[in-house]
Amino acid sequence: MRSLKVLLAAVLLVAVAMPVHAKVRSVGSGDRMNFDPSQIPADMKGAFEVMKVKCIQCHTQERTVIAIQTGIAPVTGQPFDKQATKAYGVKMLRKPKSNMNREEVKQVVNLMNYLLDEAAKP
Amino acid sequence: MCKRFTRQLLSAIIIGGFICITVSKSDAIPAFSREHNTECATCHTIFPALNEYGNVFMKNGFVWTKQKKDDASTKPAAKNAVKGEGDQEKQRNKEVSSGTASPKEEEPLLGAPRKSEPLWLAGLPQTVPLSLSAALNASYNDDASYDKLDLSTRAISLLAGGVFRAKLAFYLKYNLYAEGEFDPAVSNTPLNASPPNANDLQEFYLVWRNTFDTPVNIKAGRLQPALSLWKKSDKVGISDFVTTSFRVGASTFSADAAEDAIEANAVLFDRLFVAAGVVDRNGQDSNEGYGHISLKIGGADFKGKEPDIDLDKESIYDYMYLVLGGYVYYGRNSDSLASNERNYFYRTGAEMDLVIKNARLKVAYAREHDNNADFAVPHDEQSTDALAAQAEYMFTPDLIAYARYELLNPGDGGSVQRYIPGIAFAPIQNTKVTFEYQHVADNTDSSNGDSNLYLLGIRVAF
Ligand code: HEC
Repeated sequence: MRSLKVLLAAVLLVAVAMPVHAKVRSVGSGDRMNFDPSQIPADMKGAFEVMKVKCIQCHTQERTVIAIQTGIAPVTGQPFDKQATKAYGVKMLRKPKSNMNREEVKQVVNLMNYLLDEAAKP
Repeated sequence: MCKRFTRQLLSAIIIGGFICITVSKSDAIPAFSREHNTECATCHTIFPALNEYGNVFMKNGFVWTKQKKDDASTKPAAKNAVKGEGDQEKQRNKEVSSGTASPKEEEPLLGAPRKSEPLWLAGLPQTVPLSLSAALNASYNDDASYDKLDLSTRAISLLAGGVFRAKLAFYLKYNLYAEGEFDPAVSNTPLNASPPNANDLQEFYLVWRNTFDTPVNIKAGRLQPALSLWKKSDKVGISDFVTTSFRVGASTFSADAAEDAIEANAVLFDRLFVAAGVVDRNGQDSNEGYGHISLKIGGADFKGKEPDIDLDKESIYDYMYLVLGGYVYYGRNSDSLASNERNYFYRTGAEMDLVIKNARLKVAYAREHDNNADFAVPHDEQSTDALAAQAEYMFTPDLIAYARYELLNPGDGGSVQRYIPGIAFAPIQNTKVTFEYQHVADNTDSSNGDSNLYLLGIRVAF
């Protein structure tokens, strides 16, 4: 019985200890959720600013954070990988009154690709 | 001054109105919103009008189309762990995704609960797929001999829709309550009317998706045949397009009424939609038939795949799409089982839907030929033509203005023209207020003339 408890504790410890290194970190929760700005490299800061303004006009950043962190688009359940980012960017751009231009979408797509790479790192 | 303004405003609101015939043919389904945890704007402009993705969702039997399995873009990168400092509880809930794959196919995300396996095994959607749509309407008809102002039209409908294991989709609209002149379900199957409340069930159909792994979906039940590009409910305004709603003589056929039918439809080559069906009308010994074809140029394809646009080059074509459609319906009806006087008729139609950024133009033409629409002796053959053109402009995502011109040429002479401007406003995505004005110029008969109608409708769906 005791050994069982020890075993259980060991298993739990391993389970808890495993996922410590967050690849793509987010800050805040719910409406205020965003990517952790400290992980955005200097040359992507501009794109990050665009994303922070343009991609929260119709919904919160939570959708994008989850898509990147999980690899799955949260609404449609479709894969959210590097081949898909552009199509999502285009979809958002083509929405009525998206108030975005191509250049902005391009920057955000690049940023999402960078974040996906980061997220996939072992 | 202020008082006068208030009075004018009040009277404007009061005379605003709505007429029965067309209210509340809602298909906006909050049940889908709940199941997929997304907003109405995913599929609608202002509900119940569909945007291009709503149209895809409907065509595909209420499943987000999966890209082809061998398409490299569909293979998710090694799924990334859910980590970080965000609100993980909320993230996990969001990951319960959209009901297409089995929970086995969808690898569980680290630490995230899967979609409920028991529910999946049972074929059940994750949420109870029910919702309600309710409309309050007022109309003012300056031509009516009495009861010019009618505030007493209201309707409540129960809506349900979803999919069992991505195989069998269902859709149901049941009219719970309707008051006023509102005609809940102008039925093409009038001989069904004898059992009590036969008209309450407006639509109830099942769709066997991708039958035997082919692109064909088979749809059966009480449904609106795929004829027009726009289902009856797929509209921003209040009144229906004359091209789908007109009827001839005593014939009860209109192209937008639900019927007892079996339909096979399919998206071919991503941009072509074809449908064909048979309709069973009670009391008839042979079935009726119809076919539809439509083609989409530009925009996302009928499977929801985005156009591959060049992000380095500005082009107006990227914000444009055009859908062309055509249909034919062949049928026959009579006014009673006992009668030998049958009406053989056919209806053909051609339509166009053009979207350029926030502007939209819909043009529709229909022609019906009846050999005995009044079920009379001797037969009175006639052809009826109808034309409608509507321009819409979306000022903001919650405000759309529209203007429509309609012309109806009944076979027995004269014409009816309608000029219909209107405005639809949705302060919240599930709540909308529509104001519509109709000027009708009718010279089919010397006793008819010009008339004006003011319609005001408030609708909520939840
Ligand atoms: C004009 C409003 C609007 C803007 C601006 C917008 N979105 Fe969206 N977004 C939506 C809507 C509506 C949805 C719901 C699902 C859909 O339509 O795909 C959505 C869904 C999403 C999803 C989930 C997609 C899925 O299939 O599950 C992601 C990820 C996303 N948006 C990211 C972004 C990013 C990144 C930007 C900025 C480039 C952005 N959005 C800008 C309206 C918008």
